[in-house]
Amino acid sequence: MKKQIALIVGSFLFSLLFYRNDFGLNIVLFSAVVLLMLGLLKPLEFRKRTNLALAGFYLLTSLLYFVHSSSLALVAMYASFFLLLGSISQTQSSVYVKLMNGFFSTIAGAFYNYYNREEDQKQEREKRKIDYLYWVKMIGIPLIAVTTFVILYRSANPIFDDLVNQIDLSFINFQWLFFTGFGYLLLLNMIDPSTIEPLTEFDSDTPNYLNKNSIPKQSIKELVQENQLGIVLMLILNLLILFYLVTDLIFLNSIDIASASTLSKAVHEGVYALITSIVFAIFIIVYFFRGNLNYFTKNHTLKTLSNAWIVCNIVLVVLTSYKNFLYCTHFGLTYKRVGVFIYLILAVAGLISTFIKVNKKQNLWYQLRFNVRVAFAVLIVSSFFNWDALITRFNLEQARVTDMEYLIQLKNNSHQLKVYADNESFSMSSRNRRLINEKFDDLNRELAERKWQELTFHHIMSQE
Amino acid sequence: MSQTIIVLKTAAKTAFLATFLLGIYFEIYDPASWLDLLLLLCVAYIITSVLSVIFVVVSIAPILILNDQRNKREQFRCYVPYYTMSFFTGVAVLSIYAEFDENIVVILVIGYLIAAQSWIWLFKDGMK
Repeated sequence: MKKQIALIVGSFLFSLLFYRNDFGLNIVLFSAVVLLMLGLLKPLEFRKRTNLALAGFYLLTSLLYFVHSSSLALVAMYASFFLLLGSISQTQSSVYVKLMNGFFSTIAGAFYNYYNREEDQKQEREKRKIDYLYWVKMIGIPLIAVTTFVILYRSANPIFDDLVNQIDLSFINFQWLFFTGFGYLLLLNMIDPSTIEPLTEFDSDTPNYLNKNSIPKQSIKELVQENQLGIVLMLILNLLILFYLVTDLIFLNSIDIASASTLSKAVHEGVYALITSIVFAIFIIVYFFRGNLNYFTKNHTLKTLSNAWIVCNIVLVVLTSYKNFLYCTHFGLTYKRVGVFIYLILAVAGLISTFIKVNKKQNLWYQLRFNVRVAFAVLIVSSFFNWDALITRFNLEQARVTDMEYLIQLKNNSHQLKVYADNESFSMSSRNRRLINEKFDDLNRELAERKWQELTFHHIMSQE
Repeated sequence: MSQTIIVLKTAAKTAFLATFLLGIYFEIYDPASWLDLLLLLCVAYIITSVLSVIFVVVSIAPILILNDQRNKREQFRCYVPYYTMSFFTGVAVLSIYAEFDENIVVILVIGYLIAAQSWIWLFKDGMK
């Protein structure tokens, strides 16, 4: 009963917040409603320390969306929410399994639970018959009585009649009912999270370390040959990457920073080289350390060469970061250039996980779990920043060349650009000034049209 | 009950649900006369029936018919999560391509809901 009341109230709130509204304040309020419902209906699971932390992340990311209204914050909010639901359904699972379980619960948990419940209770249900007459009486008689008495009272009392006339139910239409029903289903999915059983079972049965007994046996001769092949290959690759790094350093010393095309080519090709190198590095290392070579007593040289190659790849990441940094300071930040930095951080994480795999005899699942965790952390941390504002401020204050048209295209910087256009009226083209003024006017118009559910922190601040 | 009958029965129920939900959304239950409404519903039901048969036969029934190693419950638990996740991802991608046009999003969401419900009908029927 408590569950049904919570679901009905929740679905009405869902309609009130989201029916024909854009995202804004409603996201924060809805996350509070969902957390309250989970706390009430799943108290034992919700109070676990991990789940409380994830609930905090969910609320925080929804607040970040309210503050920045960026797509990144929205993605981070969805990811935190899926992780929270996945963790409530099975706390011990890996991050990627929790994410999948959370996603599945959100979109189809109710269907899945309904089928399983139906099957469990099939025999019991068959014995029970629905008393239709009872329900006709329970609903029909009060309905007829209430309608009759309302008609009578309306004709007897003009004030009552006036009050009844004032009840405006015009907002209830079929589409609104459909949307509310959808909200009910969504909340039903959320408050009773389910798991993808085969995947969750596989995950809990799979450890992070290699199991010597499960690896197919190889003869000593085969192992010696594989070890030799690995040493030769790693030695050549190490020499090659060292040579590349030296030439890259020479190139960086002689680079003409003022030339956009040279720097752009250096950054893009550096990133392509990096992607290829890291994918190959991880693939080759994982291939050699897939099984018996981990336990081979004479694998020290191969391990040392693999570690050296990982270190060289990290140096390659550092050099590419430096090139990207140079590019940004001269020609300004863009989302793609920020994306390169994020990719480089993830690449370092991938290399570190490979290093740990080789030296601690871990398996591929360990790498997957480690990398997904890092990717989630990077997503959450990066959603803390208002990238539109950050890019605009950096490009206006630090960059030597400012691409004004790019800045005008960004979403949350109308105020910054307006202030800049007012202060720098001499150095700016009349076209750009016009575009900035139009953008600012559009924001004000949009602000005036927004409903309370759609307000964002940016809008509230702009109003002041 | 033979599997062909189960599949056709599911397709018929799916078509009924689809017609009902689409009717609610597009407000067809408010026509000039009852005859118009009846005619409209008949035409709509014929169209959704054809689409439902194709949809159920192509996307769900092969799993039921081809994978006879496991029982229905195991099949349901094994395939439903991946099916719904793939379908919903498709719905999300198409909605983005359609720039969240309300009508298209609603049609896609109804398609998703009836697909999930079809699994239950298909895997519940004839389980004795």
